[in-house]
Amino acid sequence: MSGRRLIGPGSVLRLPSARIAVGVLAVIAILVVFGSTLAPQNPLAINANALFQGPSAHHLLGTDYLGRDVLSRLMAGTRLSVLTALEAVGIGLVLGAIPGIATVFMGRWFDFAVNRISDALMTFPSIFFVVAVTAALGNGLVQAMIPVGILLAPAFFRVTRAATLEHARAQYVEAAELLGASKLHVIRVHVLRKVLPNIMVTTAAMTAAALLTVSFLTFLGIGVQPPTPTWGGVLSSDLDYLSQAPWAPFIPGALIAITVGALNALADAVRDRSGAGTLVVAPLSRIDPSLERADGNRQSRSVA
Amino acid sequence: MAIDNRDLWPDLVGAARHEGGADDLLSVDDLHVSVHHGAATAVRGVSLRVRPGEIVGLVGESGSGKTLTCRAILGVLPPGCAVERGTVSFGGADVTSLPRRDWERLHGSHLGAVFQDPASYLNPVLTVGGQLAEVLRVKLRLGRRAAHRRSLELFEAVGLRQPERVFHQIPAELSGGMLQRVMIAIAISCDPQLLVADEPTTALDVTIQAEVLELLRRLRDERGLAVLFVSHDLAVITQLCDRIVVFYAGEIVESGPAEEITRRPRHPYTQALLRVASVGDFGRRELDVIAGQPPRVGENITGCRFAARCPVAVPECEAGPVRSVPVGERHEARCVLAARAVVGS
Amino acid sequence: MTAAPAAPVGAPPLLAVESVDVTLGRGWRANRVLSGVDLDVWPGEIVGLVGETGSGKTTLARTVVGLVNPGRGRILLEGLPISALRRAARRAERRRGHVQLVFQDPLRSLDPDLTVAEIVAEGLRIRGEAAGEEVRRRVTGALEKVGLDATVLERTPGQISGGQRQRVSIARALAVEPRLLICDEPVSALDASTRNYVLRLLDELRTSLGLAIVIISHDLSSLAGIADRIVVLYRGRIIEDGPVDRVFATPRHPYTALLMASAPSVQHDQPFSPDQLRRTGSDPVPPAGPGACVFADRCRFAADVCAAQPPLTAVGERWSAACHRHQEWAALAQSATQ
Repeated sequence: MSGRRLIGPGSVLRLPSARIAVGVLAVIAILVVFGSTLAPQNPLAINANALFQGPSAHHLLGTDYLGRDVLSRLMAGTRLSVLTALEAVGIGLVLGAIPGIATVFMGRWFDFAVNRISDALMTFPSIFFVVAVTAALGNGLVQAMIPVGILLAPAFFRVTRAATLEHARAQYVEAAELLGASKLHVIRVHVLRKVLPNIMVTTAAMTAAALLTVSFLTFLGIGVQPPTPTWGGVLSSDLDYLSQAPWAPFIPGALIAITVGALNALADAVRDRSGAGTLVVAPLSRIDPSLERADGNRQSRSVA
Repeated sequence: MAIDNRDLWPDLVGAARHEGGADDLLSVDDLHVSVHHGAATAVRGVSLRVRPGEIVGLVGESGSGKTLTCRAILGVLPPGCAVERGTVSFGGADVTSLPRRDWERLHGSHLGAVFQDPASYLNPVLTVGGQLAEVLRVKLRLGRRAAHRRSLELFEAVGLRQPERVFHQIPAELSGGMLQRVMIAIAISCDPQLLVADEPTTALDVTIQAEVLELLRRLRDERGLAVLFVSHDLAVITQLCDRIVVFYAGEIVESGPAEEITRRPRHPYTQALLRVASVGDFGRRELDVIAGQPPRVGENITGCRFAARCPVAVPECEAGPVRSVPVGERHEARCVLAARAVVGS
Repeated sequence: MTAAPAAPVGAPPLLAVESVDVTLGRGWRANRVLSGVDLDVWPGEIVGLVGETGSGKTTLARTVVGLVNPGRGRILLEGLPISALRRAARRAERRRGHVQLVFQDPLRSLDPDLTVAEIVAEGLRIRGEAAGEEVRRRVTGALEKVGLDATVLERTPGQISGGQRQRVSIARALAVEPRLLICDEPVSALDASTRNYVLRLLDELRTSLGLAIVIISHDLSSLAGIADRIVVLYRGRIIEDGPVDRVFATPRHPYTALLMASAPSVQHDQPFSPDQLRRTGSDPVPPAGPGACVFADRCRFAADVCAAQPPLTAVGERWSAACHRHQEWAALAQSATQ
């Protein structure tokens, strides 16, 4: 069985889908940092004379219902949308992955309790939860993403726990225990690096989900103060004026879709390359089929 | 009563089949098998014969080519492997590059196969009796009741006690030894002339292994079944087989009657194997090892492939290809020194 | 090949397994895997533990090292009841490294993502007592003892051969300087030549380090080469325990004889053939029931007295067998025609 070393960026990038995805995400990342400065126009500049204009040399993606440059608004809105999505994912990761590993090593009651909390969280009606929290903490996107993050935690929890279970019962873990290893040592030396690919895959997928959620929330008007541009906000106002500019919603929609697609493609590529989330099957040994490994206390053969 | 399957395979067997003749049932000539899509040759110039009712054992370390040879004979080479040269003949007919449809007619009716891990060859959710009966219905065109009856007979023939009970059990409810008996039952169900067994007892407890080996012998005695038995365990081979074929690094280095091979082995590798193998001698003895490692699969070596590890190698051994020479009655060895001894005597 | 060292009479055993029962699984799936197992191992001896599937031999190994807790009975190491230790105390005892287990399958017991150096050093790192250079020295020392040199240090288990993996597994155990080494089928997956090499290695380690070694195997004949004592397990019970030469010359339990008779051999010089020992249809029905001898249903010589599980009784010097008919069955077997 070949060892699953931490997959390097090299092996993931060999897949063409991964290369495209990383390219797209790199552009998004640049926009997160420099979006406002790179925007050709002022995203907040209202121009009553240029409402609902189609794409032109001056406005590459046209203008919206207030004459503002769509391209600039989307570029400037990237930071808020993406960073708050990452905020939610970060919260979910910490609240989910850490218990995910811990429950496997702590006692049965702890495991039971955390699992029930996770189950409960999964049944929360998400929108109400978000609205309730923003009502309590204030109507900002940053505050709104906290409950989103909490609701993402169960996904991280389950994936991490499943992956950890798979490795926590391995014989090399037993061997380490026989040497007097503490649980922390086992986690640090044996489990963590094997669980990381699963966590990475989930992170990429959850970022996509969080981004959609941000878009949805800003679409609903939760957590955003106009005229701050966000992807979902642009989409929402576009839909309000559908009759005047039927092409308009496709633009922010496409942007959201492409980013989400790139994240999922990256997640798939990481999954392909690392084998995370797949059954580990004992491979046929080199040439001689009689070397297939058997289970239990049957003999197996190997080249000495 | 042997069911005559000639009508299922008219084009191929035809007149070549003789009742009880001494003609070879299986003959392999100068077989070369490549692996890794032609990158390396894992089986080099293998030739062997199996006569009707003979039990022939192929023995060698892993990577020696014995299993690939066995798979080539059965027509089930793994992906990436191919027969490069040579022929496999069954009942006088060339089956080396047989199309799949003809292999399906051949399997079961003339050729049966048993492998190491029986559980992985059986459907885990169906009863074992049902799986055997299915084979009978498909290959022998028996009706349901007849197939059931015959299944019970076969289970009894392979030594399963309470065949009616076993019929209705699924693989998970049976032990390894019982499962292997079921596999043997399926393999012989259509009365093949040759049973190919690839490490069938390696995963079994030693007491069960002894029973299965005795079963194979009994099947040969009662039905004239020829057996091609592949194993890495020389003791098992010497226990069961009439003839022994020793593989090393893709070649046959010695072949001959079991008595001869164990009493007077002519090839240094065979001699080393005998010293090293667990030969059941319960006196205290030195645990011998064979120094060195076998060559990598497909490695090109001039001369004898065992020379690097051979305690008695001479310069001539590495000079050029070493041919297999007769050193006794139906006994051959691929060794320069053995050849010299024959010439000298 | 060394002669069996005689343990000083009256010296306490290094390992004492006392009346251990182990039941695995819960509720209706509960399975009694070991029953009333008594076993002593003295320093410097090699004990061969033989059993087939279902004998409980791996469970016994795991119970001795504490991966499984006995339902009844206890395990004593140099007089200390280690089976009663829990948590921190157990970890502390394990860090002392007195008993080590070499697992059956090195592919599973070696972390595929670690290098050989990291694997062998793990015990030392856990102890935290040595650092840097010292660790390195002891790792190379342990590898040397098993015949591996520094070239394998930076390789992962997937990059070395099966025989080398098994030796790394042994080196890991040796690095913490144990007194007792338990090897679970250490050579089953190896070809005959490497098998002998590793067995010889264990023999030499016993001599050079004064280790006691328990080798678990299903293959009697390889044990014959190095074991001093043979212990035979059947369905969770010890049915014979004695010096290897004598047990092999005249086994006192019919199962031991069956194991030997079944072992494939070239010499065919066994005292019995399997047919003389196996039940046939014409033999009387053996007594059954929960209290009966575990081997009765397979035993040709089962009689009414076998309705009670025979205790391990002395049949010779340091030799015991659990058979009511240990004095008669051999003669019966000889006279059996089939």
